[in-house]
Amino acid sequence: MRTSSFKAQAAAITGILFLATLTVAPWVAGSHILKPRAEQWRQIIQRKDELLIQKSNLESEIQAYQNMAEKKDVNDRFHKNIEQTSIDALQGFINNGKYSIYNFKTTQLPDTKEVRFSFVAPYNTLGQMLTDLWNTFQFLEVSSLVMKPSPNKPDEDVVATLSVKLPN
Amino acid sequence: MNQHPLKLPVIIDLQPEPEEQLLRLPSWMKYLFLVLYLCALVGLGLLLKESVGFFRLYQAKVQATRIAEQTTHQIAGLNQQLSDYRTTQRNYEIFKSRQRQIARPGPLLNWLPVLVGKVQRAHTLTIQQANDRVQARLTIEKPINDQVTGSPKPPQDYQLISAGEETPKYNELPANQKPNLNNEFTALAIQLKRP
Repeated sequence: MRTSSFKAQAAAITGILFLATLTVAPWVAGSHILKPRAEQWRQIIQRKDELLIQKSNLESEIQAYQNMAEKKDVNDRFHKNIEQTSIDALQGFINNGKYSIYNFKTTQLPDTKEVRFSFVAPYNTLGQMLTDLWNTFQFLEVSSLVMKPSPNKPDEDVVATLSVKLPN
Repeated sequence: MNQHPLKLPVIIDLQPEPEEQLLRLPSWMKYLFLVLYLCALVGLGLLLKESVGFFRLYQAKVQATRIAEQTTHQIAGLNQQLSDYRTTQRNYEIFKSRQRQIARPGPLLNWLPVLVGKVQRAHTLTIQQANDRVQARLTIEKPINDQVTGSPKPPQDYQLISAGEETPKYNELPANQKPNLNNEFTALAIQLKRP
């Protein structure tokens, strides 16, 4: 008699524990599974927000640069101009028949990038030629320029010696 | 009198009295069940609410993952573009600076004639440039009593450091030509600096 009563109460307590487990299970699942996962997802969302801010900053920084296509084009032309500034190009430019010069001579100083051109030309031709030369070869550095009246035609022609440094 | 003995009807109980004691739980247990039931209901309600929030968070996470991937690609492209822009801008400034620094005697050639007077005659003109310094030298044939410009005004973008007359060098004088009796040769040496 006493044994059966004990069994009945034990069954009731087991039932209560089972129901209590069922009640607590969602909370345990929420705190141990869902919350860590939610925290992980919040970090992903936060990372997304940071990336968007970074992108926005980059776009602002890019917009600060103006006329970049034109500047790139100018850079290419500058680079090309430097590459094309050679002794042959300079000789061809000065002594190509366009300018009425004579006694043209080129001297390259050893171990330097310096070249000396000497020639006889009328005053006006010399001025025009120098202007065209500097406009064409924009990175040509003029070291010295010596002008003397030509002994044969002192009032018309000038003996000019032009020393230039080729760009690196 | 013949009395017949009365017989009581026989009642047969088909459900016999249990031999063992019925299960009887303590009375307080019904309150416990009630509390557990209410807790379970409230818990399920809260769980449902949290599930809705969790599902929305999941949707936001899926969207964030997709946006983060796209944004990462875009940021890589923007970084590349920014790097190109920086290089282009730096090269442009270097070229422009180099172009500005290159010494060209054009302004000097335009300026030198103002140093020569009407009765004077220029012979040899030398311009030497090194870094920011310029040496200009002008050999002039002038009347003995005439004065060469003492302290000339420098050309634009130049500072005058010194200016003075010097004896001309031999190779600066015209070959086989002597000045007439009233004239003399002199050299005007000028030092200029680019600021």
